Amino acid sequence: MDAHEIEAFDVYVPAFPVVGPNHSFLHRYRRTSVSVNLRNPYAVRHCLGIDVFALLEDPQSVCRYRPVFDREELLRCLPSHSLTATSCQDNGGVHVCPIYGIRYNGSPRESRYHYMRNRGFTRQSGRKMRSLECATEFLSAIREGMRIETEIPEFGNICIFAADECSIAGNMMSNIADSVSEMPIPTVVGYDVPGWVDGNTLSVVVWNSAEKEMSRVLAKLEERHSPTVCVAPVCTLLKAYDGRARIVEMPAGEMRAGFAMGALSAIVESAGIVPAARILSDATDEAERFLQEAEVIADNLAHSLSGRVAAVYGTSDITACAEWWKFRMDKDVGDISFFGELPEFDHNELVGWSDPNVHAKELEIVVLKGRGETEVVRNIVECMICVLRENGRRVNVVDIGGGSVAEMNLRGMIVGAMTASKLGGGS
Amino acid sequence: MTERSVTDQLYGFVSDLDVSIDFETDEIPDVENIILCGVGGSAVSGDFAADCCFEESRIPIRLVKYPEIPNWAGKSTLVVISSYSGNTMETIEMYHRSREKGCLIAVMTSGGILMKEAEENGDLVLLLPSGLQPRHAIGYMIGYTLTIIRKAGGPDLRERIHGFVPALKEFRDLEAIPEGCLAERIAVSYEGKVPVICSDCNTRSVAFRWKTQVNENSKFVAFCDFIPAFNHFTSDTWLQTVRDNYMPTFLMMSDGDIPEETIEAMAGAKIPFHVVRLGGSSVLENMFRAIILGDYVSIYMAERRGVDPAEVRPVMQMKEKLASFRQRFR
Repeated sequence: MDAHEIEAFDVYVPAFPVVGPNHSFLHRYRRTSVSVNLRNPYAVRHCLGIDVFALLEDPQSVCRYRPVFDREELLRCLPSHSLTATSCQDNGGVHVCPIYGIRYNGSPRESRYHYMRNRGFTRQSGRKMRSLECATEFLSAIREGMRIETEIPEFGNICIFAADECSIAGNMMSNIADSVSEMPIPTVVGYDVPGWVDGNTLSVVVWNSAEKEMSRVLAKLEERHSPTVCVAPVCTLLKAYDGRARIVEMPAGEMRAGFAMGALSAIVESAGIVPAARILSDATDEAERFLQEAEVIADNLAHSLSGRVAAVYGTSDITACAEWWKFRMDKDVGDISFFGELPEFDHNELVGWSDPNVHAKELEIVVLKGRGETEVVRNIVECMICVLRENGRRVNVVDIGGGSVAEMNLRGMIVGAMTASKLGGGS
Repeated sequence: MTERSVTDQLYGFVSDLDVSIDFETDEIPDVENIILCGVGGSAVSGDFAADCCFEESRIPIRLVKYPEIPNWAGKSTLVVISSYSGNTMETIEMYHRSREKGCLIAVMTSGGILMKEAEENGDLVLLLPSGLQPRHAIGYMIGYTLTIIRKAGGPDLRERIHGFVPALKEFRDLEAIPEGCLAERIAVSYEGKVPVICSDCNTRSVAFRWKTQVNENSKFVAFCDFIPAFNHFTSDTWLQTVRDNYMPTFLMMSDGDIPEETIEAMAGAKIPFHVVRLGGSSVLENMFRAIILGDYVSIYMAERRGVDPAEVRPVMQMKEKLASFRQRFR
């Protein structure tokens, strides 16, 4: 047997997913014995439905212990064999606590989330997780984006081209335009250009990392002589179009989608289509006031979604928000998630969700419910939730309040960012 | 018309399309943009028609599935209202709002409140044959929608579609119906899995159609995703957290629309997934092939589960709950 392979390894499977170094907790756990190959602790997760980590004593840490998710570090700290959960072992001056097993529903995030949440730890990377700061950063990025200034050429119609997370910013602008603008502001996500875009069309091309797709779009726009504004971080493509298109440089930072939103609103407003920057500015102020409330909502949601695969649905006027949830879940939580549209849901997906789907019990529905919806939609959504519940499906309803489409979208985005941050190990 | 079985309706898709694409209707005045309104099965045809016209249409075409009609819609907007039954609450609401905005309206329905009101108001009505499941009337609805778009100044796809109709029939008869065919093999592979259908963003309506057909016919949860969003948001996630109870399925409409690196990465991560190469002569043909294939996959799935594809109990539950509201709404 390999020196690092431990047989009859004791773990504790808690009755509820809370863990701590305090031994008083232990009596609540069911002790069980499993075979663990520490060369591949992830195999334990997937084979046994258990997540394994150790707690190391760390005087620098906020609560004296810090978790270890890193296999190499775990191997260095553990004695070479026969570690049992009931005996803390002295290993070269490092106090290794028992290894705890956490009930696992299909993803490492549940154990990680609960552990972090209860102990206030930082993530493996050492970066402080802070859902509130993350939301604040997002709002600041929007404001920064709003401050951009660029000359807008003459145009007859407008089209936004976007990829990566900036597509959410484009969709948000389309949502706003649908609610208040006299001119459509469609967002095309991808690398093709619709047939109607020509020299009379103002094209706003926005991206963060999608150089490849956007290079195709920009080449086609040039062929059609479409006046173009590019919003992107400094990159080869942006440099190549300096002088051929108007350029807005996107600053470095985590929240580039926020900057893109702000910048798009400024461009749309400068173009005289709709006072999008003012609308977004009001919505940002409103979202700022919502932060404390959002944190409570996010906290509850994170509990509900931990270890689950989220399917997030929003009404058509806030699709950008539902998409944002998916983006943050992918990025912060590292697990798959899905998003969809209401009231479309009740015509087809409802049928699929009404089956127990025993092969995918981890799926969990989140409904983002704004108060701006029409009476028809409100009734349909409420009936839909009712039918889902009658068919045994748990539904998390998130009230994102009323107000303008921008306000609802931003509030929903804030809750989404915070929830994802918490699920990903944030505080 | 007498009621056709679900399999008959599916089988008739290509013929329905072939006939309806030549439908002639009144000329439609020039418009600045087109809005296609509908939900459920009626929305799919609009979504699909908009995708078909994406690269060629000189008029922006927009799909709306929400009762609120965009603020910018007005007298120079053609609104195509689709509801197979003519009684879909959201669609009727869309019709009313479009009228309030003074839009030019065409209605596509087999009857119901919508037909009655549209006729009373003198709107253009395209009558769909009765006796079909709304989601299986898609052949007619795509054909009629493309007709309206063409009449309003959009692209004329008739010749191309007629050109590949025989190939579509052959594809259906070889790959979608016989025992052991591609559709059945995919259906078998979906057992115990959640299908996640992924297509290129310009053909997202096809992935959406697969998803909804699995939902309704097979009574299973399914999802869809799109390239390039999949590459930017999701592919890393699939690789990080192996979910072997999901089955990503990539629909290849043309070489390279799903990047090879995406497929290689998925293969390297040992994630179960499908790449479905449709084998048609053009993206347009492949879109239709994919519709045929997805429809039959969902029927095979239903068959293997022993469920009736036509039965949609939760939708009936919804309708009951909405009934009292509907009285008020009327």
